[in-house]
Order: sequence, then C-alpha cells, then structure tokens
Amino acid sequence: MPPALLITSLVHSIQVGSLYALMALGITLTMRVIRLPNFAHAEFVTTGAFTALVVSLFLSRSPVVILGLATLSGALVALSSHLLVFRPMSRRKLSTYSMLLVSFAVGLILRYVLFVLSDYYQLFDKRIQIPLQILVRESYLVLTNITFTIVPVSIACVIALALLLGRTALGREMRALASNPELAHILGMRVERIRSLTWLLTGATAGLAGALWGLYTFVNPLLGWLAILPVFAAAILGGLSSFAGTILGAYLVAFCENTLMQALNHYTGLTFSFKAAIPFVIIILVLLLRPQGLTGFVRRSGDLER
Amino acid sequence: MNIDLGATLVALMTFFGIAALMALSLNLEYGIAGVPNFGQAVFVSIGAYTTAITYTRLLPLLAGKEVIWPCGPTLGPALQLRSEIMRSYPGAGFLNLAITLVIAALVSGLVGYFVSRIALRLQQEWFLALVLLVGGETVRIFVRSYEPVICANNGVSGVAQPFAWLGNPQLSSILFMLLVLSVAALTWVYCERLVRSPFGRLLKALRENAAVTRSLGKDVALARARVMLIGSVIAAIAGVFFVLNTGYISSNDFVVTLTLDIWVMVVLGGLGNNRGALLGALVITILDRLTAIATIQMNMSAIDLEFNYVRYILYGIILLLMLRYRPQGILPEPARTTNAHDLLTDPAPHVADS
Amino acid sequence: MNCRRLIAVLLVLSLSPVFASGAQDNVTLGVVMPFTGALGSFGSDFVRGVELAVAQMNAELEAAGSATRFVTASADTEGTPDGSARAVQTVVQTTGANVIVGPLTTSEVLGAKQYADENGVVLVAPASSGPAGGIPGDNIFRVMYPPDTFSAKAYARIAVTRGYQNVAILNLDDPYGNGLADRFQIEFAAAGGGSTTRITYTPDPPDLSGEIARLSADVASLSESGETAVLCVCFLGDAQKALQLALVDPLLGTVDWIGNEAMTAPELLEDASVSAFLQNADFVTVGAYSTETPLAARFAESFAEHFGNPPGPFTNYAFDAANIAMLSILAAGNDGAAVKSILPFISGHYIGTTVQGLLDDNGDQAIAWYSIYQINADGNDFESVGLYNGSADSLELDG
Repeated sequence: MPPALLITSLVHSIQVGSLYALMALGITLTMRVIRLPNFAHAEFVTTGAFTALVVSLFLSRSPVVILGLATLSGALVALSSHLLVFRPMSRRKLSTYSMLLVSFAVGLILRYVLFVLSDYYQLFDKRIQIPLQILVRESYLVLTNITFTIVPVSIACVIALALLLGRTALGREMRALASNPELAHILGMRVERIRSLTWLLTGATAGLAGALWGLYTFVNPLLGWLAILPVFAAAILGGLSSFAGTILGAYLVAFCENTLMQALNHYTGLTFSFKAAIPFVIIILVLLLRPQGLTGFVRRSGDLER
Repeated sequence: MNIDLGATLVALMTFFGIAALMALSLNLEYGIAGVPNFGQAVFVSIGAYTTAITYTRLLPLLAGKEVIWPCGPTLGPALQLRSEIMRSYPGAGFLNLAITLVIAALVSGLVGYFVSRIALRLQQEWFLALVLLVGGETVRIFVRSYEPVICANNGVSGVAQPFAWLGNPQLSSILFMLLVLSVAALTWVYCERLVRSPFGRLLKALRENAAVTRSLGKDVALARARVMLIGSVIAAIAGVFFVLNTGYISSNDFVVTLTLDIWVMVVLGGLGNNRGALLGALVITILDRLTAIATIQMNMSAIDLEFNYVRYILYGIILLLMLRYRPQGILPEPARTTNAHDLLTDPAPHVADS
Repeated sequence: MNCRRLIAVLLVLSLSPVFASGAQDNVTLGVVMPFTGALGSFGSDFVRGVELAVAQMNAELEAAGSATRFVTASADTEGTPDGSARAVQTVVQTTGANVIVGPLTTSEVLGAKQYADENGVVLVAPASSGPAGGIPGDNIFRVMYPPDTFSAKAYARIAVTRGYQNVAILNLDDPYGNGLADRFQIEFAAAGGGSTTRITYTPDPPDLSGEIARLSADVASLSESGETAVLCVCFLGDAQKALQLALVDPLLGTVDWIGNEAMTAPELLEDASVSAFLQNADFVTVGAYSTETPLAARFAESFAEHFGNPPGPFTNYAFDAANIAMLSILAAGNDGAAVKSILPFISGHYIGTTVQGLLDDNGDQAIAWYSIYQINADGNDFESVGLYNGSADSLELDG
C-alpha cells in the first residue's frame, strides 16, 4: 500500500475513532444507567452540530463558544426528552423493546424538526464557520486545525468522564444504580436526580461530539442518524458496559472503516461502498466468538460494572 | 380538487395486505415466541432480491428469450425486454411469480433457521437483537455494493405486477390487491391455528420462561429455530409483493426504518395477538397513506411549509401518544391465554420503575 | 382516542381543498420532484417553474374564455428511485393525474418507469440526461435537456483540447454518473486520450475520505505517464465534501479539475479556500446552454415578479416541460395514450426559453447545445467561456 494512503487513512481513523468514542460512551452510559438503547442519541448529536453551525454563522467564531454552546444544547435536549417523554413513559412500565420504539420516535421527531428548521432557514449542508488551516505538512502527513481540535477535545472529554465516574460520589452512585437499581433505591439514593444527571451528561457529550463531527464534515439533519450504527457497533464491541472496552471498540471500528477499507480496496479492489459493512462483519464475528464482547480483555477503573 | 377515492382505496388495501404479512411474521416471532427479530428488513429483502434475480434471469428463459445482463449499459434493453414479456406472455409471468415465491420462501426460511441456530450462542437477548439489526444492515450494504444481485445501488426497475398484461390498469390493480389480500388472509388463518396448536403453546411457554421450558424436556433451540423459519418465510413473501407493488427493487427500502415500522405495527396493535398485528398494520398503513395524500393537498394549497417533513413529526407524535396511553397495544393479547407479558422482564433488561 | 381524533383532523385537512375549487373544468398536472434529500433545493425551484407556467397558462385560458384550468399535484421522490416510484403512484392514485412533470434524475426516472408504462401515465422529465434512460417507445419524454451521449463528447473534447493525457474520474454510482463516465471513457479514447481511472461513490455519502485518498493515489500513478486531470461527476453537496477533503490533499491541488453541470453553482465558491483551489486547478465545467434569448429574459423577469427571487439553475427547463405537457393535454385531451402520441409533435414545435424541443426516437431532446463555464475573475461565480454544439460536435472556446 502506498505510504500516502496509509498515512492519510490512519489520520482519518484516529479522528473518526475519537468521535465514535465520545458518542459511544454516551450510548453505553444510557444503556447501563437508564437501561435504554437510545436511538435518539443520534439526534442529540445532530442538535449539537446544528447549534454549532448556527452559533458560528450568527454569533461567534470562537471555537470555545461554539463547542460550549453545542455541548449545552445537547444537554438541554437530552434532559428535556427525559423529563417530557422518557420519564413519563418509563412509569408506564413498558418493555425495553417498547422503550426502544419510544427513543426511535423521539429521534424521529427531533430529526424532522431539524429538517423543517434547516429547510426554512436554508441550512442544509453548510460548514461550521471555522476556517481550515493546515498546521503540519510533512511529505504525506497533512494535519489541520480541525484534527488538532477534534482529537484532543474528544480525548480530554473521555478522560474527564472516566474520572467523574471512577472518582466522584456521583460516579459511584451512577455505577451503583447501573448494577442494581432496586438496591440503589432501598439504600435511599436519589435515583431520580442521578437519572437526570445521567441524561444531562450523555446529552452534553453528544452535543459536543456533534459539533466536532460537524467540524469534520458538513452539517445536515441526518448527520447523527448516519453515524449511529457504527457507534452502536463500537459500544457492542465494548460489551456495552466497560469504558475502556468502548473506547477500544470505537477506534477499532474507525480503523476498519478507514485503514482496513483502504487496504482492501488497494489489494482486492473492493469498492468503498462496502466501507460501512466492514465493522459490522467484525462485530458479528466477535460476538459469535466472544459473546460477552471485548470486555473480558480490558477492565479498568472507569467500568460501569464490576 | 379531485381525489380518486376508488384508486386510493385499492392502493391502501394493497399496502395493507403487504404490511399485514410483515406484522404477522414479527408477531409470530416476537409476540408469540419472544425472539426479538430486529432483522425483519433482511427477511423481507430476501423476497425482494429473489424477485430481482428471477425477473431478470429466469423470466426471459421462461418466455423463450435470451437473457440480457440487467445492469450497466444494457440496463435499458433489459428493462424493455422485461416489460415486453410481462405484456405479452402472461403464462411466463405467473410461472415466474410462483417460482419466485417458492425460492424466496425457501431461502428466507433457511436463513432464518440457521441465523437462529447460530445466534443462540449469544447469552444476552440484547445481543441477539443487535446482531440481527447490524446483520441486516450488513446484508443491505453488501447487496447495494455488489452488482449482480440488484445492479448495486442502481436497483432493478420494471418488475411488473402479474396482471399487467390485461392492459387495464384499474382491473389489474384490483386483481393484484385481491391476490395480496387473500395471501394475507390465508397467512392469518394459518397463524391463528399455529397459536392454538401445541406448538403455539410451547412457544408461549418459551417466551415466558425458557429455563423452565427447557427443564420440561423441550428442545428450546429447535422450537425457536422453527418459529424463525416460519416467520422468515412469511416476511419473504411480503417482500415479493412489496416490490411487485412498487415495480422497483432498491436496497434503500430495507433499512432499519422498515424494521422499526414493522415493530411499531406489532406493538401498536398488541403484542401476541394476531388480530392486533393486523390492526396495527392497518392503522400504520392508513396513517402513511393519509399523510401522503395530505402532503399532496398541502403542496397544492400553497402552504409554504415542507409537509414532507411534518408528516414524519406527526408519525412520531402519534406513536408516542399511542405508547403512552395504550402501552399494551390497541388489542392486547387475551388474558385467558396468558397474563405473563408483565413477567417477561427477566431476559431483557426492563426499564426500571421509579 | 387521540389517534382517531388526529386522523379525523388529517382527513379534514386533506379533503378541505375539495370544497375550495369552483365550477371550472380542472385538469390535474402531476409534479414529482425531490423536495427532501440532497437534491431538495432543485425540486423546490422546479416546482416554482411549473407553478409559473400553470399560472400563465390559466390566465391565458381565462382571457380566452376557456373553462379549462390546470392545477398541480406534487409529491416528493426523496431523490431516490424507489421514492420516485411511490411518488408517481401516490399522485396518480389519489388525484387521477395522467401527465406528470418530473422526476429529476435518471435514476428517479427509471424508478418510476414501470408504473408509468403499466398505467399509461406520461412522464415529462426536464433534466434527466443519463444514457440509460434513452428507451424508444416508452411513456417517458426527456425534453429540453439533452442526453449525456452529447455531453460526454464535450468533456472529451475539452480534455483533449487542453492537452490532458490521462483523466482520473470520480463519479456518482447511479445511472447518470456511471452513464456519463462510461461514455466519457469511450469518447476520450476515441479522441486520442490516454489512460483513465474510475472511482465511484455511493449516493448520499456521509463521508468521502476513502474515495478522495484513493483519487489522490490514482492521480499520483497517472501523472507518471503524462499530464493528468480530475473529472468529477458529482452532485453539488457531494462535490463540496470531496473538495473539502481535496483541499488538504498534498497532490490533488497540483492538477486540473473538470466538473459536471451540477458543479456549475456559485454555492460551490462560497468557501474562499475552495474557490481559490478551483481557480488554481483551472476548473472548467460543461453546463446548461446559457445564451440569453429574449424569451429567457422574459421568463426570468416574470419568475422574479411572481416569487420575489430569481429562478434557480434549470428552473426554466421545468417551466418549458410544464408548457409542453399542458399544450399536449390541450391538444389531445387529458388522456395518457393521446398525450403520449402527440407530445413529440408539440415538443418539436415548441421553442423553449433556450432551445427548440425537438425529440429523437427515444423521446429525448435531440438538439444539444452546452455552455462551457469557468470561474470569473472575482472568484464568486461562473461565466460562460465557450459553446459546444452536440449535433455538429464542434467546440468553440473564447480567447
């Protein structure tokens, strides 16, 4: 494989992997603490991307303001979906599969509200207005300010989340709620408050991930929905419980989609439309060989279940 | 503005028949047997892809013509050949349809059987659901990238419905509707009988508590595989009619959204109740048609709002309201057979109560 | 129950226009276009072109004392062939329309073809150009915009005239993109060109990074044997994504670029770095014939008067297609078979906003003129720099 292809695809793998990790952590968190495979997560991400776009168009071009407001918008949307829909619904004691449909409906509504808004204000396929600058140009290696924003911010956020869960009282309570909700209730934990905070946290990470994803490509209402399956794939590879596993899964999925795909195209002529299928094939194989996911390999302090 | 009520109704009932088949299939698998099939779209698509292959490769042979490669530069001539055969060789058309249904049922049934056998290795039910979801998407991406099946993302057009040769669009669409509805009715009768049979009782026992059923000496894996086989056959038949109705085969139709739509029908109608599945299919079809008609009328009345988007928002809201106020579906499973859906919490993590 | 109430409201909503119409003889003209999806903005513009034609026709019919009035019924194809099949079906089944303006792309046209042929519905498609849609004797007429068998020659002539030995092609994997790329490879070889490479991308790609990295590698290997250019047969949104990635590629900025008519859009140049990149790449496109006739000026004027903003690209073709469809209905009655029979005659005698609508045996536009475009000095719009006459295969470049 020519070195140019290898280097470029590795840069993409790292960039996309960081974004997948950030999104997959939110999925894992909701899955464990709320016990919901949340399809609406995709739209929390998209909301963040649109907020970033609108802020960059009309308010400020400072990356800190853009990312900050996007994070806030994701958190608010997640919290209000929880208060308006998920909490009243979970009181109805729906089965998990019905709750999955609820999250699908919430996502659908949010997605098409974004469609209506972006249609009305002509916001389709716009770029977040942070000008592209090439910072490193060493023969085949080209790195831009976008790479230098996406990767450090995602990794910092992931580490912060791991510390929050592993080292703080709130983190301990969330983990307790995740492993045994009945006991958490009996022990007098303020379960409702923990749940709301979990939603706030996942929404915030989703919003941030959306803004970063929008920096990487273009903003449109399908942005999150198109990324949700690889993100679920990453979360499943991590066994839907372990933080370290999820992060590993995210980079693995991104590596398959970029570097492995490029190699397959180079050596076997496989077309790029197979790209999205490669991580899925790997997941299916992993799950059949190791039904507990990758968790068995790595267990760290950030795990939600021990 | 003139609304053609007759044609609208025929179209609606055709759509309903197809949706009913899909809903009955999922109701059998999940509602009765408790297998969370989140890969419904694949089994429907197997019917569609089989149709693509038989209509492009087998149909010309049945009519005694030479097969033209359906993709790429010869796409146009191949399309013309299909249309011509469907217009002038009704016998070949019917024979082709019959063979298509048989092959689709066989392939889909076998795939369902083996998927269920393999997927049973998964310990958590959740993983099974997600593997099916992801597996469905994998199959779709493969078909959409690999030309010989349906010309990759170009799709296969010109799949005429079997009565097209009559040359009378109204009559042929009514006949097609009757065909679809009678297949749906037969399937319903079959499903009802299955539910009441000893096998149906075994399935329900399995759904409620697999461990107990196993301890009674029943082969749980085989029972699940059998129900997946039956469900997959029904789904594939639905797939064949689905593409005959549209006249076009594209991998775009068999996305996660289709699976979720079928789930919505079943959950809305009432899990574990065949009549509920039919009702769910009817409600969703009516909703879909009404919003489609409303969209056209809104476009005509020059309201400057993109109703094509608004209809999805409405769909989501109605779904939420239904789940909120009728969580057991419109027609819940009759309590005399079982009250145990509430107890189904064990393998699947239940949403914790507050 | 909430559901029932909602359905009832919907029913009333959907039926309300029934009572709005008066005592005229209404004829429904179907419009099937992508309103949502990547091509949504085209669809919305096209519908306005059709609405303008209908408004003008109705005013003239009223002045002439005729009882006939045209109303439009439009449905969304979502930009996909299956969506297009459903949209045509829905319009025909619910409104009884027999003649439809649309759909937009070749893949959408092919998607709706079976239903149209089977049910005797005539499709008048104003912008579909993929060679695969050129089928004789069917119910599809592709008026005003010529098939790509012509434009492929124009691209080949440009490539050869500019002295490119090799061309690396990036094209959309649909009947339009593949058809144009196939024809281009044939014409380029026939005109004495060297090697070509092909990379196809799936419609609505979330990300093109793999494809662009590969394109760069292709350019690297082709450049070894002579001057190489990139030919991009892409929809606008995809082209923007591709260019954003090409900006940071070490190699793609060093070669020339050729684009298709969808890339002849000022939106592409809104991003200053993309504009600079394309100017540096001596970017050239083959697009719609731009010669300003008095008729085109009159159309632009009444469009602006009617809707408050200037018409979008190709909107005049939708306007022309609607006129051809309505004239055919007025001449032969609102009946699919009759319209199918008379439409080639009407179209052949119709002088549109840019060109005469003569059709060939496939029911496709037979008179093919294209303008050749480059970026203007300010870098914010395209300007015509030449003409290609498809019938005579002659390329004239200014200066």
